[in-house]
Amino acid sequence: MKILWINNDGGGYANHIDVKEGTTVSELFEQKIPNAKASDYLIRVNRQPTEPDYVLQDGDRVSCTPVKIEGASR
Amino acid sequence: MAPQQTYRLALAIHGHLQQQRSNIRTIELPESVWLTCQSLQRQLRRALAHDWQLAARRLDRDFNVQLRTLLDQMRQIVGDRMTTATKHMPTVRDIYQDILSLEAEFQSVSWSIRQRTMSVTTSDVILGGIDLGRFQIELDWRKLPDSTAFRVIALDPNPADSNESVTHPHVDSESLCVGDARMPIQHALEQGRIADFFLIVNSVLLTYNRGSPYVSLTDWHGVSCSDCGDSVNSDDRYTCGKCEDFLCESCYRCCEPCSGHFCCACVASCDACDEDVCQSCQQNCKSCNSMFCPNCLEENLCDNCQQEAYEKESTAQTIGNSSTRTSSGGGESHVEPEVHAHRLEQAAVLS
Repeated sequence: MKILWINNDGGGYANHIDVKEGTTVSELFEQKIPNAKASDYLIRVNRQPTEPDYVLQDGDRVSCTPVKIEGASR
Repeated sequence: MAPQQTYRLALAIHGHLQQQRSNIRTIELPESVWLTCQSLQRQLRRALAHDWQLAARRLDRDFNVQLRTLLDQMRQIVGDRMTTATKHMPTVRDIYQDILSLEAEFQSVSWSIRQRTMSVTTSDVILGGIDLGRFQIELDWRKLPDSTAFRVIALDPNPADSNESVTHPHVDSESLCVGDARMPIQHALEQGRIADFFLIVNSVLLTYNRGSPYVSLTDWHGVSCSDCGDSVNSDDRYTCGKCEDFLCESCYRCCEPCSGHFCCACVASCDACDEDVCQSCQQNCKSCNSMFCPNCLEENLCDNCQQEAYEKESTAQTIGNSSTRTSSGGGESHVEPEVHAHRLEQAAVLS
């Protein structure tokens, strides 16, 4: 099934990707952003906060935004 | 926000984005690189015609470099144009849902159709124990998808003491230096992901990058003078050249010989001239061992000790002279008379 995956970490790209039926939000997060803590990100499904064990549906929109992003002075 | 108003706002933003997408843009072709390639090719042909092997090899290398540059630039141009043509265009519904989601993420959401702006208000931003207050992130959608289409307004300003336009370590004059968020913000605005844009900016406001602030949090309210304890701004403070403590303008001492700045604990007064002298410039009289500045010592002796030394030397010399005259006896003396023979009223004075 296809979902829209929006990763606002690093490059900030949005792409439609294929995921297996039954994949949860937490599983997708671990696949896409390995070695990272979910608590360091705002994870939204269809623009709403969700439980980690939510099972993704076809056409879902999943966004992932770091809670901390460093600004600069120049 | 009432659903109708939200829909109107979404419609307005969508309309602008659509207009931006339909604008046909011209590009700059890599003309100068092409001309360089043509020139190198002419030179290469001439070198080969004259059998100038060395020149031909060099020109061939240069020609290859320019061809690769030309190819890279053309690929970039084609890529940009294709990307623009296929970029995801949000629907009115997408933007509408983004606006709705923002009402749950932020304290408040406001907008002005007339001014073409949409704003969200953050919660209090507290960094390093300093409460910087709430901020309003205001997006001017007329400037979309320009990534500078927003400003960050301090609603409860607690600016840095040294610069009141710096209301956050990474905000100067309502402009946020986005740092690592540059690409995510750019893509979010290009793709009309309004909610993502505001969330990303909020994440930057909640993060302190100690490596690159306009004003660091440690200097936010100035530093204390180590001598008097008053707060002093980073622009007005001095640093002790010995212990590196911070000093205000009133408390720093200037070492006369080296003109360095020091705190009161790192200088002493010259015993002669009373000027401040740092530890590096202090010198001791080799006789009395008192501390002096270099200007008040001569041959490592202070004035007093020099005078004493001179007097001792004079005394020793005079005694020496006197001893010499006495030891010569009552007979004819070989020493020059101290009084001229014709100056009868003068008498020799013996010390």
